[in-house]
Amino acid sequence: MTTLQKRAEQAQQHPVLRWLLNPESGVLIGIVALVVFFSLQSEFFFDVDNFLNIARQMTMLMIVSFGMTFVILSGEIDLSVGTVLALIGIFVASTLRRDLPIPVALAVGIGSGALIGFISGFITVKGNVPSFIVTLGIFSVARGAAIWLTNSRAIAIFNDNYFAIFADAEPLGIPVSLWYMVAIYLILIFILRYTRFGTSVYAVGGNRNAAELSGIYTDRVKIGVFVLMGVMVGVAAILQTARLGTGFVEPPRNLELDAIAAVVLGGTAFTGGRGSLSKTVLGVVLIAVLNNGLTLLNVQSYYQLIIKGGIIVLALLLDQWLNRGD
Amino acid sequence: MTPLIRIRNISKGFPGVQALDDVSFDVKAGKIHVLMGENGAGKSTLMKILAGAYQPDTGSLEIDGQPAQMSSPIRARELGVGMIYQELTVLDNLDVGRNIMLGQEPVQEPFGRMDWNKLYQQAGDILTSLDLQIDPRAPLPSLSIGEQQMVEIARVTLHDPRIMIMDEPTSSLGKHEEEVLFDLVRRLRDRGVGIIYISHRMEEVFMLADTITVLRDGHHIATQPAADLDRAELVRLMVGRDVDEARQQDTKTDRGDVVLAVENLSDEVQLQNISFMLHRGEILGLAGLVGSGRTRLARHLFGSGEPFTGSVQLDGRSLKLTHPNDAIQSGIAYVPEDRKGLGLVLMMDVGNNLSLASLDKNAVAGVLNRAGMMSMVKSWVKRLSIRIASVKQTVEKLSGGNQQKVVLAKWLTREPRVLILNEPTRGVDVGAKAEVHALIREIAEQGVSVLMISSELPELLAMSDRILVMHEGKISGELSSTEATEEKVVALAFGEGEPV
Amino acid sequence: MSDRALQQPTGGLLRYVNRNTISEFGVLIAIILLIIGFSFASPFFFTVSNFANIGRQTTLLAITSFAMTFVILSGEIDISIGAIASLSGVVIALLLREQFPMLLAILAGLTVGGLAGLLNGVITVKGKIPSFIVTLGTLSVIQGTALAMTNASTIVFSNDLYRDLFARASLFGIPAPVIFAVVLFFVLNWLLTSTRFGSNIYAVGGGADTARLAGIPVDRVKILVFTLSGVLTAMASLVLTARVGNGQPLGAQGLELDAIAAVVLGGTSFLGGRGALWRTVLGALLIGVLNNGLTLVSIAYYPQLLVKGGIIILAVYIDSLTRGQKS
Repeated sequence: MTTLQKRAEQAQQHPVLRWLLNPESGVLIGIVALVVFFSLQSEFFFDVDNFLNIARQMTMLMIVSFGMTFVILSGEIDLSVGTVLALIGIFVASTLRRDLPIPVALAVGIGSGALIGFISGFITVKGNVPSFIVTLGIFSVARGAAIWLTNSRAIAIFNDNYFAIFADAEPLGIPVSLWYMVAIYLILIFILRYTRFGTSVYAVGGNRNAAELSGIYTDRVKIGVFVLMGVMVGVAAILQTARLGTGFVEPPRNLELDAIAAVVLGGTAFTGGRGSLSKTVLGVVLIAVLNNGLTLLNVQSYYQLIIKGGIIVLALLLDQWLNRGD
Repeated sequence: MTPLIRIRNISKGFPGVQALDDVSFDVKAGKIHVLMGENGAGKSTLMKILAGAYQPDTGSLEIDGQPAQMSSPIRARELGVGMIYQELTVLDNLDVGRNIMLGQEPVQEPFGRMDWNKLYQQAGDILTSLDLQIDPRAPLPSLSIGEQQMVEIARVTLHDPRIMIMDEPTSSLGKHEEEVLFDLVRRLRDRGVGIIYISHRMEEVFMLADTITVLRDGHHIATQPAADLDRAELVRLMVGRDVDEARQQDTKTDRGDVVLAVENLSDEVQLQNISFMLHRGEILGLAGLVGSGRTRLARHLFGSGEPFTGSVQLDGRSLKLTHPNDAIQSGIAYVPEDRKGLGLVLMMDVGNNLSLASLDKNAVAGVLNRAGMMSMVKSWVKRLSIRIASVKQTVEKLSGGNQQKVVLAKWLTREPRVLILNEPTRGVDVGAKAEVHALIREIAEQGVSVLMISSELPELLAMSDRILVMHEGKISGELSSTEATEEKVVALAFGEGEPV
Repeated sequence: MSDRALQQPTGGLLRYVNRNTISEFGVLIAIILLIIGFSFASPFFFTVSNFANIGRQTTLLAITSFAMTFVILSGEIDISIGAIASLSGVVIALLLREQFPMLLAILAGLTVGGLAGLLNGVITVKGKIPSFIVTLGTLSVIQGTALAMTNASTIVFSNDLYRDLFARASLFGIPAPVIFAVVLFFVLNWLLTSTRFGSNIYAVGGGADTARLAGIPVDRVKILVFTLSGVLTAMASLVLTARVGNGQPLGAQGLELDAIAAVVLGGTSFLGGRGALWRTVLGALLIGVLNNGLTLVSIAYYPQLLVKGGIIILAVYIDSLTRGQKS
């Protein structure tokens, strides 16, 4: 291990190697390599329509990963996003089924997300319980609730306006979901960089004691982070139900896994305090390109599981090796 | 007669400090050898070297005349060194017997079966041999802290140590438990164990010690039979510096108005009826040994400790302190003793660290004025001449002095009324130290009231207008700058009512 | 002295008593109440055949919960258990389908489980990474491997001896898997309470640093625990595959959640170092009786998931309250 660390240190000295070992450039290189590889392997890959397709496919993951970035930056984790997203989708779909106006559906979606996030955060902070176990419980509760409420039936939506606004419109020829994604990115960048809350998130994740001693209410910040995560899941659920036209009981497969992979892969430290949203963007793009390309090459989805799991573990080990092996 | 353990020319340095410098002395079997010295004298470092937790830079150890390499705690234990840490290291999920026998459980082959009867019997035997009436099957949480301490000692005696090192073992014990412990220590001595005992209490030193060694600033000062020493002499040995070298020339004697008034502050753990006043523009030094309650008091005043009783008034207004933010909003600032663990968020940059305590002042409805913050940060960086390449630099790699300036600046941005400093120059090099001192004086001259905790007596004497000394959760004395000498402060810190 | 210990006003023992009353008698009382309630609610509940049923249904959960108990006691967690059970189930099914000898198939399944556990342990311990995130990653890898090996299809096999041995046979009316689980319980309980290995697990979970200073090989203990957990999980998959007669690549998905629920519900602290295997039996039984009874009284299957999640959160919350806030 020590020789490895020494080698790592030597590598850090060399500017080119340092750039290569920097997770961000590593991910960028990874993306480029994948694009080149898939373009050579499949005639359908390097194509504007396919790129738009990739973008559309990654919207949900991107928005959820943004929320996850906040959670991980604050030193916590949320494993419940998949089933919570499905549950919120059902809430939204049922609201629209009752012919309630769209704003009500939005309020229901975002409000229920915020509430669930609040519950996760509150129990984690006040109960002094690790967040992974709390959110694992929430995962199960949300799934049970979704199945119970719907008897496992999908809830179809008949509201063309809703579809138009949240899925089908293409302002300037770009799918509307991308516009939402970009808008949310800008809002969150703003929150993270230009608000007290954003700075507090870094401080709490980096050193909770020092943050508390600087007058920051660290408990509130953590709860706030979970609420924000819930809101992001709510937004993702709204876009997802519009895209699919139904509220589905089945959660998007491995959403939490993909989100955590994207965040950690981007180079945000899973121990908290270090990272950024733009890193997460790179991580999500890499995973989305990977998913799309592998699908185009007819690689079964389960190899994607193996690859993604492997990537998480390797990214963790690399992060540990580079940043904490003092 | 060969000494039990011979410490030869041991030196050990850490970045910025020479913790031990050529220390040599002998410890004899069947004696209680008390190790004394001020904070930072090198006692803990020496102890850790004996226990195998640190390796000396130079020098060697001999046991019974044989060279002994304490390459790890486990190796040290094999060589017959037992160590009782100040903090309990018992496991409270296990019972007494299993704690005593931890890692040495009697097993039968095959399968490494536990021999429970033997385990409890052996544990019971050890307890009996130490004359302790503790049931080896009792769950640990059912014991008092003192009894848990005994269990810890029993665990160490399991290895039949020839040398037992005890680091302030009485610091969390009550009067009665203390006597039980003293009995135990004497019994161990009478069995021929050599005991190295670190203490901060003058009283118990003279009750127990056969021999006393004094360390000062990493140097060995004296090793003498306890009978040849009296308290005054001991204090002189511990202090023994050329006083006045850094003495403040013009000490203010006219005090401003009372800013902070603390009355009868007590908590359930340690502090008892702390009362004092802090005046405008005053630098009030708070002396005392580590563990005397100084940090605890500071944390209470900053709203970050446990609940306490008594009143804290700022400008005549009673404060309700339940969170640091309460204190901050009232104009109290606190520079904690552990810069890296409590003062800074190491992975954040200078700018964000420096502005962390004044986010509210730079924000409207939660939105930060980054440009304003940046210019604020830059002006403070300049004012305190913090040497950095850029405010975007992470604080992790800065020198101790620059890090400490960042922490100080973080609080100065709030223009506090009261500034509490806890070891403001720990781990700071000489040059930066002088700058920090000058800065503290300047702040005080501008009317800020400073409460300064320091374990470095010369610093405290040089800086303070007045000095409070704490001993075991109480204020044991107050000295004006004219009457304060190192001897007097040390005597009070060791619980001597009558200053020498 | 023990008298004096009892009188200690520090609240230490009092807290201990509270813990006991809540988690030991609480779970037992809950089980009894449920049995009484369901007996009134359904004529089919209080029958020998239904109890055999409950036993059969609970064994799978009980065995995986045993695995989880070891991991949690050592202060770690393994959320890849469901995936490991699926993978070793698939391996066994594939070998049985190809007419390999039963013993070889079983051995292969257990080896796969053990290797997966070993991988978890080594990465966690040597990489110094929290086990929940490590096992989240390996969960994905293991799950994907199971799917890839089977091309995402169910592997049907026919081996009557195997199915009888681990599912269908019974002795004096007691189903074979129940006997299997009971035997396993006694072996594991012996391992945990009567061997140095078991004793070390408690020490490591109670305080890894102190244990290390006392000369206990902390890393090795943890890696062994993860490996054991993998092997036990594979044993659970024996029961599962024998019951359904096939190996499904997603057959044991979500099992980790049930296992955590059973362990924590039984009163084993998720912070490590405190708990016992018999507690886990009670926790698993409670969940088993609840599932069975709810189904019999025709309450939809799905609120059970909800209840389970709620139970985990509640149990964990109570655990943290009774232990008091740590500073």
